[in-house]
Amino acid sequence: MGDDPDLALIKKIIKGDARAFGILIDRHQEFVYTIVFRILKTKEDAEEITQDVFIKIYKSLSTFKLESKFTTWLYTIAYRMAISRLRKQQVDLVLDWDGQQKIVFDDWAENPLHQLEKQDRINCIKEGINKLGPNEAVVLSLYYLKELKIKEIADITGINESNIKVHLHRGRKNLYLAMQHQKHLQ
Amino acid sequence: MKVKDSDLIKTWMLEAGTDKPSENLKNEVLKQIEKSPLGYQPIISSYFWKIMGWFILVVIMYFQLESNEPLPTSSWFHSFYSGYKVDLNFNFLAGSSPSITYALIIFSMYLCLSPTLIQWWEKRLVS
Repeated sequence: MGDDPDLALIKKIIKGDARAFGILIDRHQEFVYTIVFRILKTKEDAEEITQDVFIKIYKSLSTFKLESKFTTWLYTIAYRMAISRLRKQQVDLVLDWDGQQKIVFDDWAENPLHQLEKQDRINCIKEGINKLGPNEAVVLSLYYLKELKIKEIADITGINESNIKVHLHRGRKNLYLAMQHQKHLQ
Repeated sequence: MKVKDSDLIKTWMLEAGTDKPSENLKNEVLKQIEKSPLGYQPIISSYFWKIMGWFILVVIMYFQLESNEPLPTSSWFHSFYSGYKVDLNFNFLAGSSPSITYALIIFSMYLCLSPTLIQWWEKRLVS
């Protein structure tokens, strides 16, 4: 991958240039945060995991194979770390329910009507995306925002190509339904 | 869902775009990586080990040669080279003046170390 724009930066970082890593963060933080946020659905968790992703990237950059595409590697790490946190959250939620019968629904119990009153069109769409399953949201983001091919998405997520197509189809359908639902509410 | 709705989804996704993290995310990351070194970094660098090795060698050679006496044929030094059937007579060093001996040792040490030193300077210049 000689035309990978990140390659020169990575070489500098390996030689110890921390400023180059700052540039790399600037370049990718938004999309990494987007992937993580669309899986975890909460800003605080997404922020924390995004930080962890970049720290992990920095620490294991020496193991990165320069002939492979950096973004694929970066998105793979971001996806896996976010999914791993999500699984942990789900386990914690079950344990919490079984043990103490208390679950804080702050992040979940948003009033859609109240939201729609003050949110603009973009926020409505984001709301729709937020309602998708983690894999559906990530697959749609990678497919439409980064215009990645099905195979590349499969490499990043570790999900096979036919299941990626299923997630893509379901994602489109569910986002459409979510938007229709919001339209009715409006 | 109709086929044409696929374009609508694309429009929505592009309209929604990406989400923005907080402005201090980058600074937080940079602050944290300052504390942790990049990848595996040995406590004692390879350069230091090489210098130490040469220093130990110089000390051994010094004690071998300082007596100004011919090297005994039973010494490890002699037996090591005779093992490879190389006829090296180091007695000329013992007979020469100490300053020439030390100069020779230091010169050979830096000759062997020069690739390492060049690498070190290159690394410093790049960073």
